[in-house]
Amino acid sequence: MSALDGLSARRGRLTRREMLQWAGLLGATLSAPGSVACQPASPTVTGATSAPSAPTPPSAEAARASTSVAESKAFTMFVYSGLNEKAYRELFVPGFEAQSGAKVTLDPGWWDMAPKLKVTPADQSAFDLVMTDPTQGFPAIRDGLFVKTDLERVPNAKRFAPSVLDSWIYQEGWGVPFVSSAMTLAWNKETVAAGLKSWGDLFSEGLKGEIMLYSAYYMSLFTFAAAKVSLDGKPGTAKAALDNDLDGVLSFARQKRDWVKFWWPATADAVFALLQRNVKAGNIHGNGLIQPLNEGKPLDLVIPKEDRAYVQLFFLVPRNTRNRQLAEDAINFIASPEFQKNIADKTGELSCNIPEVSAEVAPRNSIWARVYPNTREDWDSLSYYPYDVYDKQSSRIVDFWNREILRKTT
Amino acid sequence: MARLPALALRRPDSAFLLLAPSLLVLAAFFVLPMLWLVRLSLLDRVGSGGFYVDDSFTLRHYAAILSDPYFHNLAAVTLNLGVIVTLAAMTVAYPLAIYLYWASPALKTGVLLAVLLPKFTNLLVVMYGVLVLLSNSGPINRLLVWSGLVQQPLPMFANLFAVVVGETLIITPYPVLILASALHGVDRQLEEAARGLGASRWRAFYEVPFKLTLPSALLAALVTLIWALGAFTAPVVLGNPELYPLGVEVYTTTFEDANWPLGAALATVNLLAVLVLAGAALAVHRALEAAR
Repeated sequence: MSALDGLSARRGRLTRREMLQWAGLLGATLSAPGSVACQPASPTVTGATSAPSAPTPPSAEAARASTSVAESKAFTMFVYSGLNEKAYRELFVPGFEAQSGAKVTLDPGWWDMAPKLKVTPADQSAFDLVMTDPTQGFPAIRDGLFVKTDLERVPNAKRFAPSVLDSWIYQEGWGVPFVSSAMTLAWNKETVAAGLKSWGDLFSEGLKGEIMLYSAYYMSLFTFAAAKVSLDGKPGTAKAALDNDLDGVLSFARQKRDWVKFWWPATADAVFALLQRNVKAGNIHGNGLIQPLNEGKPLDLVIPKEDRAYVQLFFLVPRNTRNRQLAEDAINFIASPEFQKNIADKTGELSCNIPEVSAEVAPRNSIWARVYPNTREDWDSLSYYPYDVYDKQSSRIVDFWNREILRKTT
Repeated sequence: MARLPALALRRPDSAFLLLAPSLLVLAAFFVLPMLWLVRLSLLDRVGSGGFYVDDSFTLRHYAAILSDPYFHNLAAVTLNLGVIVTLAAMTVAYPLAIYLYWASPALKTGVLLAVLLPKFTNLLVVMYGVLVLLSNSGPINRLLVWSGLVQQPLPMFANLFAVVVGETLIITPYPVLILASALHGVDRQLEEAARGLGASRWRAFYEVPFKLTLPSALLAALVTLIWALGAFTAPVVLGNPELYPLGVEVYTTTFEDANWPLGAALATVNLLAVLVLAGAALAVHRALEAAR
C-alpha cells in the first residue's frame, strides 16, 4: 500500500482508482439507456373522442392576444420532421413572412410537441402554431394545452372538402384538420407478379410469413378489420366491424399475426423492406411510395375503394401563444388555394384538400393522383381512421395489441 | 528510501472545485430530470384522458411492472438480449485487444482507428448498412445463393441474429478500448520474465496479462452489458417487436401509447436495475482486486 493509499484509507476517502471506477461506471450507466437515436416516422393513436371542455382563455390572455401581432413578430410553428418540414420551410416560411411581416421559425419534431408545451412558462409558449395528429393532439387538447381557434378568422378552411372537415376538431372549433396519407396495399411486383386487389388478398396462404404491417395499431388493426370483412364477403364494413364486433376483429388479428414477418416502425423501413424483398407485400402510408414509383422501382400499390382510411392531421393553437391572431392567419394562409396547390404540385408528395384544386393537380402527377383524393367520388367517400371508435376502447386495444399481436406473449 | 513528506502529496483542499462543473452538469441534467421522471411515474392516468392526471398519486404502474407477466417477459427479453450481445461483443473484443497488445505501435494505431470507425459515422447510417448486408437481396444472401450453398436467401432480417449483429457492432468498441487500455498498462517485462522461465507464449500471457487484467475484463463486460440492456437502435431497425427490449418499450409506451406515467415507471425501473447490476459487479470487481 502506498503512502497515498494509506492516507486515503485513514481519512475514509475513495482512492483514485476507486473514484475512476465509480465515475466510469456511472458514466456508462447514465449514457447507455440514453442511446436512443431512432425516431419512428409516423405516430400512432391513443385516440380521443369525447368532446373535451374548452379552456376558455382568460380575458388578460385575450387582451394579450389581440395586441400580440403588433408587439411580437416572432412566430414559431411545430411541424412534422421530414417531408412536411422541407415543404413548409420552402413554401410556407417565405410566403407567410412576406404576408405577415413576422419572422417565422419552424420547429420540426414528432413526439416532443406536448412535452415542450408542458414545460414552457405560461407566458412563453414553445410554439405559436402546431401541426399534430390524434395520437398526440387528442390527449394534448384534454390536457388543456390548446385553445379553440376563431374559425371566422380562417375563412379559407371552408374551401376544404366537407369530408376533410368532418372531425370534431373542426366541428368544435379546435382547429383545422387536413388529409394525410391513406392506408395503402403495396407489394413488390417481382415477388407478387399477379398483384393484389383487396385487403383479404394480403392474408392468402401464399403470403403467410411474407408480409409486413405497421407496428402502430391505428393503421394495422384497421387493416385486419378490412381484411376480415373482405374475407367475410362484406367489404366496406371495417369501421362497423371495429365498432360492433371488436372481439371478432381482435380474434382475427390474433389468428393472422403469423402472416406478418416484419412490423415496420417507419415508412422508410417499409419501403426498404419491399425493395430488398425482405417481404412481399403489406400495408404502408401511400405517400411513401410516390418517390420510389417515380424512380421506376418495381413496386405497386392499390388503395381498395372499400374501407379506405386516411391519417388525419390538424393545426392547433397553443394555449399560451402570444401570437394567436397570427396563428389563425397562418392557418388561413395554409388553407388558401394557392398554398394547397403549391404544396401538392411542388412537393408531389403532400395532399391538397380543396377538391377543385386537387382536380387541377391530378393530371400533372399520375402517381400523386393514385395516392391522394382528387375526384368527386374520392372526396365523397373520404374518411379518416376510426379514431373515435378506438378512443372508446383505447386501453383494451393497446393492451391486446402489445401483448397478443406484437409480442405474442400468449 | 526516504519518504516524501505527506503534505507535499496531498491534494489541495480546494481540489473539490475541480468536480464542481461535472457535478453541476450531473445535477442539472440528470438528477433533476430523474426526479421529475420519478414524480411522473407516480401520477395516475385515465384511459382516454390526457397524458396524466395532475396532483394524483398512485403506485399502480410499479405494481403492474412487478406483478404482470407481460413485464416479466419484457425483462426476460431484455436480459436475454443483453447477455447474448455481451457474450458476442466480448468474444470479438478480447481477441482483438490481445492482438493490439502484441501489435507494433503503428499497427496498433491503425487497428484502433478501424475499431472506432463505426463511432465516427451516424448510428442510423451504420444500422441501415447492416440492414442492406443482411437483407434477402443483400450481398451476403446473393453470394450464398449464387454459390449454390443455399437455394433460398437465409432469413437474416427482423430476427435475433440481425439485432445481435447490429448491437454488437455498436457496442464492441467500448470493451475493446477498456481491455486494450488495461493490457497496455501491464509491464511487458513480467511477461518476458515468464517466457524466460520457460512458459510458452500463451502460458505467459495467461499467467501475467490475462490474470492481471481480469478485473478490467469484468469491467468491460459490465459496461457492455449496461449498453446492451439499453439497446434501442438495432432492435428497432433490425428487429421485430417480439425482440424489443425495455428501452424500446419505454419509448413506445410513452409516445406511441401516450402513457407517460407507465413509461416513466419503466424507465425508473430500468435505471434502478442497471444501478443494482453495476453495484453488484463493482463489488465482484473489488473482491477480485483485493484477491490479486
